[in-house]
Order: sequence, then structure tokens, then C-alpha cells
Amino acid sequence: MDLATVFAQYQNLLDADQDLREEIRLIVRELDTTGREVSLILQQIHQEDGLNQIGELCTRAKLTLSKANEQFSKLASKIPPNQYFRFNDHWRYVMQRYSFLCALIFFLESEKLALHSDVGKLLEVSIKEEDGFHLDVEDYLSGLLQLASELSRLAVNSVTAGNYDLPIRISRFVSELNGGFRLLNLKNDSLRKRFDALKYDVKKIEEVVYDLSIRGLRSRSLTITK
Amino acid sequence: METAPPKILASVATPLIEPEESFDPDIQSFFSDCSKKLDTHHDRYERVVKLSRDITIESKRVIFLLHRVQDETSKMKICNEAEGKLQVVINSSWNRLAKELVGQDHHHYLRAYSPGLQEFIEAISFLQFLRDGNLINLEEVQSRLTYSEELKVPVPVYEYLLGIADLTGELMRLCINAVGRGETQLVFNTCMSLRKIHEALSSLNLGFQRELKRKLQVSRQSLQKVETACYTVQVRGSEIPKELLAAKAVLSDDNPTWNEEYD
Repeated sequence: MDLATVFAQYQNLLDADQDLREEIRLIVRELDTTGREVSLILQQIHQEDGLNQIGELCTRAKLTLSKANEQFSKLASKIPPNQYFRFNDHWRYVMQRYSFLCALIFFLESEKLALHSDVGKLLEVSIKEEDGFHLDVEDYLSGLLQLASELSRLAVNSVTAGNYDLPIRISRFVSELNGGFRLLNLKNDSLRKRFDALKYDVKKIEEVVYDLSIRGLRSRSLTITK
Repeated sequence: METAPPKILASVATPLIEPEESFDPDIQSFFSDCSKKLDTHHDRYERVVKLSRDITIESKRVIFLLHRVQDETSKMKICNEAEGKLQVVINSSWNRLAKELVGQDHHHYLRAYSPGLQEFIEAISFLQFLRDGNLINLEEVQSRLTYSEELKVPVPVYEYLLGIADLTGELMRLCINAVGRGETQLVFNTCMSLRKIHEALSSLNLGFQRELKRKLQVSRQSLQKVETACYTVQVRGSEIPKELLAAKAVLSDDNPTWNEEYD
């Protein structure tokens, strides 16, 4: 076989790869847009009366999220079996963002930590690598770290809105999260960098709690000293 | 009898962060599970990186060995030795690497073994070029790294092409060494092969593959050096002794950076 024929075959392989990547990119762009919509709804918790509307906001966010569910299943159908990691660079960032949004919804509704499986359920995406398209544990963890910094913001804003109890609960939640992350052996990668920023979120929340405590605004500490 | 200051002290003294023992054990064990998952992946990844490094080192040695070919008789001996060395790599490091990939999505580890794979393709293609005078194709490389239906190291086309792009650099060295030995025919033949491979590589539409585009530029420079060398051999071959010709060919005005880029 001469070189030109062989290389024409390689070209076909390269083209097939490019075409598929192009399709993936389009769906990921849709997912990105939907993610922004969900994010926009959830950002309202930081507003003056946002905390009183949590129920309604979460319902709306989940309604929009159902659009993402379809887009995710469309994306999953494009990925040939056993090739998730060939293409996952295209959606890794978006996936982390969704993971964060789901964990935020979960926290707002229950004030509990969304486990890997909880986020998977909300996204309607498998959490098992064997299933092909899945929510990878690294992306899930990355989402949790985004949650911590969002909650540190919420702690500040909830004080402004006159809610002095939520920061205390956030503080407990985030320190528990921090304790969990300290069980992980992280490599020197992006997850590690994100984790290194977690201590600043913890610190910020501690400062809020400190401010509340020292001024006697912390309801629980008041009952203790009584 | 409490006064104001102790009260503040008391409230400050209440722990801001709950002690770790009070954490939800479910969450702790969940994180332990996550930790195990991450560790399994990271450990395997590191093992693959190590194997890849061993493969790179051994492949580089084979390439150096092949450059020692002086004439037809030493060629046979050296090619056999190189083949033996590569077979050892295939049977040891590559085999272990293939076993690491069983049941895994190999793309997850491609970045770990890509350097070794490229160097290996460079070595094996160089060997085949010297021995048989043709370019090894993707299928042949893949068959060397296939042990059975389930046990193999997948060779993506893109990695293959990167390895071949590296081969052009070796052909350039081969050609220049041939000039030094005065093997004019080998110089012209190698130049022709190099041109063919470069043309085949440049004919590909690469889309967003940046690394290969970069290597193609290097390959183009190699080709130009070789073409200039051929020109010098042709024009001045009859004028000066062969020993001086090599120096002339590679240090001509068109190739001022030759020495820097030799390695």
C-alpha cells in the first residue's frame, strides 16, 4: 500500500474524531446556557428577602434543571462506549458547575451535604464509571468546593438580611466538609488548588460567626451563657 | 454576680468550630470512600507514568544504537540487536502497562503513557525503515502491542502520527551521518523518503491538534537541512574530500543553527 492511501485512512480517523468533537461542543454549549439559567435563579438567595423564597427558588431551579437532564442524556448518547475520558475535557468544567448547582439546591432544601449519588440523581447522570457517561468523583468534589465558597458569601449576606442563625449552621456544614476533604490524598492538580482555597472560605465564615458571637447576636451562644 | 466582660469572654470561648468527633460518621465514611476511589486512580496513573518512562529510556537507547550503523554488515547485526531490545520492552514494560489498562478506559491514562508510546513508535519505525526501507503503519504498531483480544495497549492514530513526526528528526540525522561517511546514495535515498513522509504528514487536515502542527514545523526544518545537504553533495561532491564535505554540507549558510538543533 502506498503512503497516500494509508494516510487517507488516517485522515478519515482524524475527521471522524473532529466531527464528533464538533457535535459534543454544540451540546456542551447548550448545557452551559442552561447552567447559567439555573445559576441566575439561585443567585437570588443573596438578595434581601431571598432566604424567604428558598422553596420557590429551588422549585424553579429544578424545573430549569430538567432541561439539562435532557441535554445530558443527549450528550451521553454521543459518547461511544469506553471513551468517556477521550472527550471529557469538553464538559468537565460544565459538569463541575452543575455538580455545584445541585449541591447548592440540596443544601438549601435540606441543609445537608449532597452525596455523590444525590447529585447524580438530580442530574439524572450515572455516578459509575462502568456506565460510560458519568459524573466523575473529581468533578463532584470540585462542585462541593465551589459550594463552600458560595456558602461563605451566603453567610455574609444572610447576616445583612437579618438572619443570624444560618451562618452558624453554614459554619458547621463547611467545617464538616473541610474535615471530609482532609481525608483525601489530593494530587497536585486543579482539585488540589481548589481545596487550598477552601481554608479562606472557612476563615471568612468563622469571622462572621465570631462577629455574631462577640456581639451576642448568636442565638445559641446566648442560651449557653444564660 | 456576672459582669459584662466575662459574659463576652464566655461567648467567645464557645468553640466556633465543632470538634471533629461530632461530625456525622456517614459523611466521614463517604469521604473515605471518595478517597479510596481517587487513590486507586492516582496509584494506577503513577504506575503507568513510571512504565512509560522506562519505555522512553529504552526506546531512546535503541535509537542511539541504530545510529551506529556504519555499513551493510553492521546494519544486520545492529538491527537484530535493536529488534531484540524492543521485544524485551514489548514483553516487559508494555505488557505490564497493558495489564494496568484492563477494564479501564485507556483514554483516562493516555496522557500518562503518551510520551513512552511516541518514543517507542519513533524507535520501532526507525528500525523498520533501516531494515526494510518502508514506513511502519498504524496497524503494524498496534499489532506489536496487542497480546490478546482483551490485553493490549491501544494506539490512537494521533499518537502514531506524533511518533512518525519524530521519526523525521532521526532520518535527518541518519542522512547527515551518511554525508559524513560519504555514502552519497544513502543521502539521496533518505532525503527522498523523508520528503515523502513529510508530504504525507502535511497533507493531513489536523483541525485543532496543536502538538502535531508544531512537530510538523520541526519536520519541515529537518527536511530543509537534508535538502541543503543533498544540494551541497551534488554541487561540490567532486571538489573536496569526503571528510570535509560533511562539515560543508551541514554548516552551509542556509543552516546556521545546525549545531544548536542537532539534539
